Amino acid sequence: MEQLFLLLPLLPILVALINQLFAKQLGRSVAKISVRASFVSFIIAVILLGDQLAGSPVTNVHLGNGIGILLSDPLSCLMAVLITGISLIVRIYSVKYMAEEDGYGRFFILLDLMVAALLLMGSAGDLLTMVVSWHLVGVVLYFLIGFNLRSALSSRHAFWTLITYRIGDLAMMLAAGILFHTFGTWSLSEIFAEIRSAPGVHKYGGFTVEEITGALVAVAAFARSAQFLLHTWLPYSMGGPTPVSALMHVGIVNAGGFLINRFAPIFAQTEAALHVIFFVGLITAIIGSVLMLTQNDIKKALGYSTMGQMGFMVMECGVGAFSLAIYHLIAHGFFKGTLFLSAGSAISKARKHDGVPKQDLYTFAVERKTAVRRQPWLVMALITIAVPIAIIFIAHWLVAKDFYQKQGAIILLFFGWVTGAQLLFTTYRMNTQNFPRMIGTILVSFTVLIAGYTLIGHAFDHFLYPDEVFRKQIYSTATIDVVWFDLVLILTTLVIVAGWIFTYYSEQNRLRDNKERCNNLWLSFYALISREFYLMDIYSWMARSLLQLAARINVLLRWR
Amino acid sequence: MDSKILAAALFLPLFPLSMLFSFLFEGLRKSLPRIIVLMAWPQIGLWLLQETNSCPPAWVIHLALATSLFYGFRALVLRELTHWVSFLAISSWTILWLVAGSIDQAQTLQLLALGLSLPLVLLTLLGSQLEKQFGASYAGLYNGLGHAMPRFSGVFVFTILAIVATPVFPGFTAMTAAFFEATHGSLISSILLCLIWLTWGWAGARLIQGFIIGKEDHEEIEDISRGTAWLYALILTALAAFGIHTLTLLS
Repeated sequence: MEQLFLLLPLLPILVALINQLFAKQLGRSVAKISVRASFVSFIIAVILLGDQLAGSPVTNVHLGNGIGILLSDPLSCLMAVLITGISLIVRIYSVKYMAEEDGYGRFFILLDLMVAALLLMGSAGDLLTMVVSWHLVGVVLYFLIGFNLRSALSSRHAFWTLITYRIGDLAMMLAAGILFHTFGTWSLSEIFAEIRSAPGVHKYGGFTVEEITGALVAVAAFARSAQFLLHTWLPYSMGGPTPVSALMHVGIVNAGGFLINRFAPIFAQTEAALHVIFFVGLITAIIGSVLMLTQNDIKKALGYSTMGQMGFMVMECGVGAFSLAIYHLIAHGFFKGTLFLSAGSAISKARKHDGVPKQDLYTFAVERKTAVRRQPWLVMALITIAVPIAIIFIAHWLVAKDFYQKQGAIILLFFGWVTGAQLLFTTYRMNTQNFPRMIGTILVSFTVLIAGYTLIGHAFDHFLYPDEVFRKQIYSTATIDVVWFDLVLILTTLVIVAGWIFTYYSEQNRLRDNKERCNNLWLSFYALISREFYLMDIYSWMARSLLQLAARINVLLRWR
Repeated sequence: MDSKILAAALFLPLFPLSMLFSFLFEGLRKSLPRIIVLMAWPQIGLWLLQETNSCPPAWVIHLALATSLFYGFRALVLRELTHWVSFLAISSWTILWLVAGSIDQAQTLQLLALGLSLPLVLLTLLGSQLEKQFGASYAGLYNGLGHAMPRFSGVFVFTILAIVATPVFPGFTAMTAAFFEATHGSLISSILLCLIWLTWGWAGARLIQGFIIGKEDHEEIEDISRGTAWLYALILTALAAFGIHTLTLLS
């Protein structure tokens, strides 16, 4: 099994090398070789995951003399299956999709290198391998996004991605430096064992080593997973070929969640890091989702949708639900990958005929025609508030009876409830022939989703973190003061419920007194989000100012 | 200040002595003397540094980091290749002041300095190729070399990557060693190193954009020969292998 594990990152490197060396002789066959090797990689990854599921112990596989340790554990095997599976699909898709493009061979070589870097990152068992692979993912992505060498725009977006990733790389490098300086070893297993045996003992710059490295690893994860303020590269990185967008949204952007999981033993010993992670994730989830709704470009909308999803994934880490974040990134990877790969054909078909049946949903969502006769608002308000919460609580109660003692679980339940309730709230205004059937369908879908999410999340928890004490420790680290927690939760609930009730009531009674004032407010808000909070403008201005300053200094010093 | 440290400050160029190096290097018109300077300059500096038999004072280390950042930052707007090589040489060699504290073996340090100089030598050679072809090696003057000169572009991109300390080239090892040395000291040194690395990446990406990207606006251009490309590739592969080797020495 150790040899198989080594083969996993080596195979794509070997294929890239063969394809580069014999590019002229192979011609378009580079794609075939790449796809076949990718299939073999996927089979190997599945075998290794099966081995872990069968209960194989966690092992360190040494690459060479002194450095290069690969960690064979449930997390790395799971990531390997995800990466090889998705990359196989992407490569099969690319065979025809990229056929007309210049640099066909170069594209497959870059894809192979990217997969190798991702696999190395997923299985890195020492700090150096982690830092090297983390860097390389950013570098290869730069060339993949800027694949079209004639497009200055693609190159510009690739550059933004590179610089943002570099910020995360440097945070990662700093964390590695501090950990090596403190523990005198590169091995992650040894570092984690030391931290477990003596937590909070070592200090750096006035903070515990766990706290400061946790914060730095979090910054690295934020840059990779497009968290707010480090997100601007993501929606603009669509200039690359569609398969690259798919791979990026499926396997690269998610790496932030993976990284936080990999460094879980450090985060379990922090005090504030997880709270910051939660807050950043929450802001990102909200802003990403809001920005997604205002886009008229399908790929950009998907980009912001990914940002919102990544925010939710990071937020899950922040509440201590580490394994749930891994499940989320896998689920998101599959559905977003499908959306990206089908976006092109959907646009192409829509140009000829939109193909959308003009049913109730169409008239409601697209033409914005709401029902004239509505259901009794009080009944709907009660259903909205009570039903989702009942479904969520029952689903979780079936899985683990002590679930509600964890604050993280409560927060996730809260978000589940808000989402489900919002869906019901929205459909209240929808014009439909068979209202009970529609509500029933929504409730069944919601139940299936929640039950599935809960059960699979629970299974992931036991597979990735079999040590129950450690699982509890992560949740307890994510916990805040009970009084504050309850207060914030109750207040937020009251605000949301009051908002719904008010809207139901005003819709029902046609309150239009302050329509004009609301319209102005709405337009200002829309202007703000349509400019994406002016962040890109601010960053561009900062970059231009720095370049002007550098030029002025050069002139002043006569270019010496 | 020790006269040997002062002399070392000229060869591992600290600001304002760095201006002398820049003046000298850019005054050289031929590639060969430039290459000799690039290879020999940091070696002399290291030799002088080792002759002092003592660690340089903290303020010298801080000045080295400040110089590195200053030249890395100024390199952002450079378009002329000789200027770029000169500034990046100063920015990367000054890191050796810090690395000298973490690597005891003089030979390893000298090899690492060689590893930093070699990609700069390659870029100088590539620049002279452009000068022959176009009369100047200037980013933005002729776009789209990626399609017009694919072999040249491949080598050019990898050389830039080697200069800006991309894993697994020796520059990455030097930066890693510098990081681990900096974490022994103050957080400010570490942050300065982060900024230096950021400016290198930025400057490298701008140079790639200036030469490689865009629609080709020239007719017949002669690419470098297959044999020359192989030679460059071999040197770069050897550099990468050497980078991995030095990385194992760090552990």
